[in-house]
Amino acid sequence: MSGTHDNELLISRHLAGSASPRELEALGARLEAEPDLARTLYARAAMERDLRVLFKAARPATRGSRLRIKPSRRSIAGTSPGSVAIRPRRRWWVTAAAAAAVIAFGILFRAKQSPQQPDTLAVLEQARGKVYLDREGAEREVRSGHRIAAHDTLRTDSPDSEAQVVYLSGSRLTLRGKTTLALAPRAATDDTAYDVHLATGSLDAEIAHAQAGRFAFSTPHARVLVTGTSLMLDVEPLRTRVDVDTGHVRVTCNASGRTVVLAGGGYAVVDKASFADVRPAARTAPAPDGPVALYTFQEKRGPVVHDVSGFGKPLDLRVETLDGIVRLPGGGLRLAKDTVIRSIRPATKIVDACRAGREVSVELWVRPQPYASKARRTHRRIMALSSPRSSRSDLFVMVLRTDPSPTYAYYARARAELEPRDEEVRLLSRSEVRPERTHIVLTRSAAGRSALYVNGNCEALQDSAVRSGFSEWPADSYLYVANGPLGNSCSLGDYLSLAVYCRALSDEEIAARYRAGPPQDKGGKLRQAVGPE
Amino acid sequence: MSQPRDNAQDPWSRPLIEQNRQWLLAYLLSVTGDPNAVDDLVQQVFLVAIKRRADYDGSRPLGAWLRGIARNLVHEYRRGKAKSPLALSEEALAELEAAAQADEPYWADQDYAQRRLSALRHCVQTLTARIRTMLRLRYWKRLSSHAIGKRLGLQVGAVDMALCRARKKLCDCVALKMQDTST
Repeated sequence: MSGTHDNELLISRHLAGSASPRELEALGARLEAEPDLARTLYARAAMERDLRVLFKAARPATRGSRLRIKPSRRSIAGTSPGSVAIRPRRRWWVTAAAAAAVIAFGILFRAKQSPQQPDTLAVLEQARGKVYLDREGAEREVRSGHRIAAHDTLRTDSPDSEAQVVYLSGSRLTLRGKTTLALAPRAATDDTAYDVHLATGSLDAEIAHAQAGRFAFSTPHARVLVTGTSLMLDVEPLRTRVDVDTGHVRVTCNASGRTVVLAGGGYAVVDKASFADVRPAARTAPAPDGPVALYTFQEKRGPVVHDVSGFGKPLDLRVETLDGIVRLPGGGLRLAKDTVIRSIRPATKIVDACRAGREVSVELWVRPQPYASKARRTHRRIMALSSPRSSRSDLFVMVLRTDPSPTYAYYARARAELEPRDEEVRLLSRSEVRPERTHIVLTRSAAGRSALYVNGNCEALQDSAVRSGFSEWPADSYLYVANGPLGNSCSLGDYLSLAVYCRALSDEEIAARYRAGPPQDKGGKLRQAVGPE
Repeated sequence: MSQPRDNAQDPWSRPLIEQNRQWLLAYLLSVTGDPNAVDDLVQQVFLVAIKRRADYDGSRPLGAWLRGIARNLVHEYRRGKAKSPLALSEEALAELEAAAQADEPYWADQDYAQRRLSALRHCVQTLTARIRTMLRLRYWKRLSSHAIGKRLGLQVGAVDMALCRARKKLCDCVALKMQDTST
């Protein structure tokens, strides 16, 4: 059988829902190796849809089922024993009456159980770790999908916990760590304005545009009125810190009554008496020559990987599952099982900083183990900056790739603007991936030139027709390490360091950095952090 | 293009939902391979979209926004499946989304669905009687390949292969006919 026919048959069986796991695996691998096959799959799915519509018009209404009955009990004179087709009498009224009784019983039972069911204010969309809900003094554990009403209190109880609450209006609150939050409509007469009391812990908020000016947070130290924004709140026993990503918020100190207005990039720290520190808006400092984000994986425990660049607000990463993670002596993470490592918030600081210089470089020290995984994949991501909302929003990606060669090579894609997919820069290294310590650098200059370096040598170079502008980089892009937004392309191995620069590193700089080795060679103190050589 | 600004005032009007439903059906079927779940998933996409309409930026294409929602629902669907579904890489999923995006503008023409069905009806008539019977048994009687094989005295593999070839032939034929009607 030819390859094309084989593909067609796999697609056909997949669309009919009758493909075996082995066939699905084969189809997945072929789709990875032959991107055009995806269009064939879509075309066949469209045909399947049309055939269903075409024949649906001619399909008869539901018929009585054919029953096979035993001749000893109900054989009919004159018919052959064994199999007799009968059409059962339709007692539709019995079915209808039973259904009505069940529905009525259900309604009555529900009404009895909760005579005054409160109106839903929001929904717990995601819950990681234990999340508790306190309603009228009774606390119980809740899971994702649970409805939250006015005056409910939510509590997450461990440093790894995370809960996402989505209001019906579209606003989204994310509780992290040990956090206690009470939700309420601001006034009984206005159920579209909300008060949220954060007693302790950490909270990220994305407020829907329609809710601008109608959302207020209160903490033991301050009151924060949101006028359309995304922000972060940290409440500790002695202080409250407010960080604004975008938009504006008005912060009022509970003790002094003083009010400040914060814009994107601004922050305020309020203690029991007054404002301890205020920066109303982001300083328009240019991107530094050193990294704007830097990870050396020095943490001894926990799911968080700290950004130690010292530039702007730290963009920490979070390891989704710690199972199969080993901490290397001297720093570094060894991934023995699939996981996702993602920035805990959008990588706004990288996007904003690189827009100014219209250049970017990504530097990695890794020891890849592409053959350690049993799952056969032609692409394994080492890192990516991309939006989880769309796979076409990859800004830059570094991948281990086996196609077209049977062995893995380094492969990188980079986009400055959201140019068409077939115009984006694609770089494939000449050298193959070896399970040894490797230095990889991807650069993109303002002139549109992209280059991929492996161990100090430039292995691929490409000029893009689109000059770098970065103006259309989505603000909701996240930084991923060892995987991508889908979580199905993990690259196992050791991760020693990752640095992102908002300038294109020169050949000499890259060669010097390769010669100097990873930060682990210097007791964890990274030379790169202090700027170029 | 199926964007609200092109369709006047109401981005949630029935015609607009219907035209987006068509490419969403094909996209979700190609990703999930579960004909029974696809209708529910499409419905969920619109439910989520209507619930989160406050988040929708009217200056951006509605189709792209719906694809984002569909993508998240597909993730949930895959997580909830006991049987391992088709494992799609980021690249393959991006290609499928690109195919859906390319298909999307055609459905803005309200006659497109009718013309396509009419072309398909004509193309089905060009197939042999035996293949037409198979199609009727599959899509009208909703029989499995095994049941079709039993009825026609064929192996399951032969039925699958015949239906697969028929679909390919129909795809090519419809594409040709649609090209003819548009020029």
